[in-house]
Amino acid sequence: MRRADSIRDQVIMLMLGMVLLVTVVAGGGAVGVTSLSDDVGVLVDDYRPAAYSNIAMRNDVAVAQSAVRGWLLSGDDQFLEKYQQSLQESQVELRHLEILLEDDAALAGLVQEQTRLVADWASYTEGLARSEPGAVSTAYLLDGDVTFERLTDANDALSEGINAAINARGDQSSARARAVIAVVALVSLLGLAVTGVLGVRMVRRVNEPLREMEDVVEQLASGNLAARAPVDGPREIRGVASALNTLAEENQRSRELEERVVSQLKALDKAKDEFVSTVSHELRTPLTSIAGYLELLEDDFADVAEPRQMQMLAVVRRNVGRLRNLIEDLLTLSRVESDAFRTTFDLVDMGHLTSDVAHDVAAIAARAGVKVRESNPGHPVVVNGDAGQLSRAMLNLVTNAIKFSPSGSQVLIRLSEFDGQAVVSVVDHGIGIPAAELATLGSRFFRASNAVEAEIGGTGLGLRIVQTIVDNHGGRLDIDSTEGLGTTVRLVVPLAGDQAHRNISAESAITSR
Amino acid sequence: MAKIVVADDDADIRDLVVFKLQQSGHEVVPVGDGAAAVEACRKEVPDLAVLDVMMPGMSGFDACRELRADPALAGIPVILLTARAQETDIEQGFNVGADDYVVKPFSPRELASRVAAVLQRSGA
Repeated sequence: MRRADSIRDQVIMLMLGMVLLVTVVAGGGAVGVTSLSDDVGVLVDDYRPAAYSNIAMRNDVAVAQSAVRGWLLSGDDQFLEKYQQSLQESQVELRHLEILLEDDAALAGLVQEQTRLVADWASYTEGLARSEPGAVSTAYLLDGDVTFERLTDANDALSEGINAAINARGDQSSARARAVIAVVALVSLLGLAVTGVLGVRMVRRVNEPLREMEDVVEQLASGNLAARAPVDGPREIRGVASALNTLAEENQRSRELEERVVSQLKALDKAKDEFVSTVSHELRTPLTSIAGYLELLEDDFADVAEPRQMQMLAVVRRNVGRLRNLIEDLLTLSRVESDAFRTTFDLVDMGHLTSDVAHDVAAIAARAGVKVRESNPGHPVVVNGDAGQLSRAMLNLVTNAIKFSPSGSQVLIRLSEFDGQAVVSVVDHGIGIPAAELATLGSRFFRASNAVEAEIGGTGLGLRIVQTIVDNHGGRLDIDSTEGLGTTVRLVVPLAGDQAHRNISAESAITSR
Repeated sequence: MAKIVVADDDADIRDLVVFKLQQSGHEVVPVGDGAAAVEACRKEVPDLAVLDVMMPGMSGFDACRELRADPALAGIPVILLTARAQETDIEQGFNVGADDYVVKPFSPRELASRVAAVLQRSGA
C-alpha cells in the first residue's frame, strides 16, 4: 500500500477505517439479532401454542370425563351432548399438537403416545355413552378411571417435555445474545483502540512539525534570522515549512542588505559631517581675515578716504556679508539634511519658540521699520522635535517676512492648534510671490523675480532649509501669496500625543532657552 | 594695560587679533599652537589667553584644559576662537573652562569688546 503522505490521504484512510468498523459492528449485530429472533420465533410459533394446546386438551378430556359420569348418574341428555362436544374439541387440540411439534422428534413421540391413550380412553367412554344409565358395573367404572389416569400421566409428561424444550430454547437464546453482545463490544473496542492510536499518531505527525514551525516563527520574530524550520512530516506541512524557510532566507538576505546599506549610509553621513566641519573651518578662516581686515581698513580710512573709496569698501563689505550668509546657509542646510534619518526627538513647546523668535528678530524688525506681533493660544502646544531646528525654521520665515515687508507694515506670528497639528502662521503684507513662481519655491538657490528686481538680498537657501526641517519633523509647509499684497506661510507639525501634553504641563518641556 | 597670549595657527588671523588688541592698548604675546600657548602662559603669566580651537598638535580645548589643570595658571581667563559654530562645540568650550567663546568669522571690534568684558570681570 502506498504510504499515506499527505494529511488529506491520512484523514481519508482514517475515515474509511471508521466506516469499515461501523459496517463490521452493524453487520455482526444484525446477524446476531436475526439468529436471536429465529430462536424466539420457534418459541413463539411452536412451543408456547403447543403448551397451551396440551393444557386445553387436558381440560377437554377432563370435561368429557365428568360429562359422561354425569350422564350415567342422571340420564340427562345434556351431559351426553357436552361429552360429545368436549371429545371433538380434544381431537382438534390433538391435531394441533401433532402439527406444532412434528419438527421435535422426542416431543412428537410423546404426542403420539398421548394420542393413542386418548383414543383408548375415548373408545371406553363411548361405550359408556351408549349404555343405559345405572346399568354400568362399578368395576367397569374403575377400569375407566385407570385409562383416564394413564391419559393424564401422558399429558403431564408432554407438558413437562414442552416446558423443558421452552427452557432449553430460552437458555440457548440468552447465551447467543450474550455472545453477540460480547462480539460486538469486542469489535467496537478494538476498532476504537485502533482508530484512537491512528488518530493520535496522525495528530502528532501534524502537530509536532507545526509546533516546531511556531518556534521558528517566534525565533525569527525575536531576531534570530538564522532560524529554519525542519522540512518534515506530511506533504502539506513540508510545503508550509519550505515556504517559511524561503521567506526566512529572503528576510535574512534583505536584512543583511539593509544593514550593509545602513552602515554605508552611516559612513557616508559621517564623511559628510567631517566634510562640513572641514569646509566650515576652511571657508570661515579666510573669510575671517577678509572681513576682519576690511573692518580695520574702514576704521583707518574713515576720516581720510574719499566718499568714492568708502563706497567701494561698502560694496566689498556687503559682498563679504553675502558670502558669509551663503556659507552659513549651506552649512545649515547640509546639517539639517543629514538629520533626515533622525528618529529621536525632544518634547518641544512651540509657544516658547514663537515668543523667542519674536524677541530675537526685534532688532532687525526695528531697523526695517516693521512691527512684529506674536500670538499664541496661551497653553503649551507640544510637538516631538528638535528645538534648535524648529527655531531656525521659524527665524528664517520671520526674517524673510520682515525682509519683504515695506516699512510701517506689520508681520504677524500666530501659533494655533488645528486637527492634531501645531500651526505657525507667519503673515506679512510685503511684495508677495508671483503666482507662476510659487511651485518652484523652496528649490535650492531659487529667488523670486520680484525680489531680485527690488534688489532684496538673499541666498535662496532659507526656504529650502525650512522645508527640510519641516520634512524632518513629518510636517508640511503651506504658502499662500498674492503678488503685491503679501504672503502667509504656515508651518504645520504634528502634535505630540496626549501623554506628552500632560508631561509638558509639568514644566518639563525642552525649550530653546 | 593687560598682557594677553594670542594663539592661532593662521598667521593672518593671528596678526589681525594682535593688531586689534595692541590698538586697544594691550601687550600681546603671539604664538602659533596650543603647546606654545601653554608654555607662554607659564612664562609670562598673562591676564588673558585668546586661543583658536582648531590648531595642529594641541587644540585650543586641550590647551584650555591644561591651563585649568595647573593651579598656578588656572586663574587665567580664556577666550576661545572657533570656526565651528555647532552647539556641541560651544558646550564643549564651556565644559573645558573657557570664559567666552567667539565664532569665526568675527568682527575685530566685537572681539575687542569681549576681551574688555572678560578682563573687567576677572578684575585685571
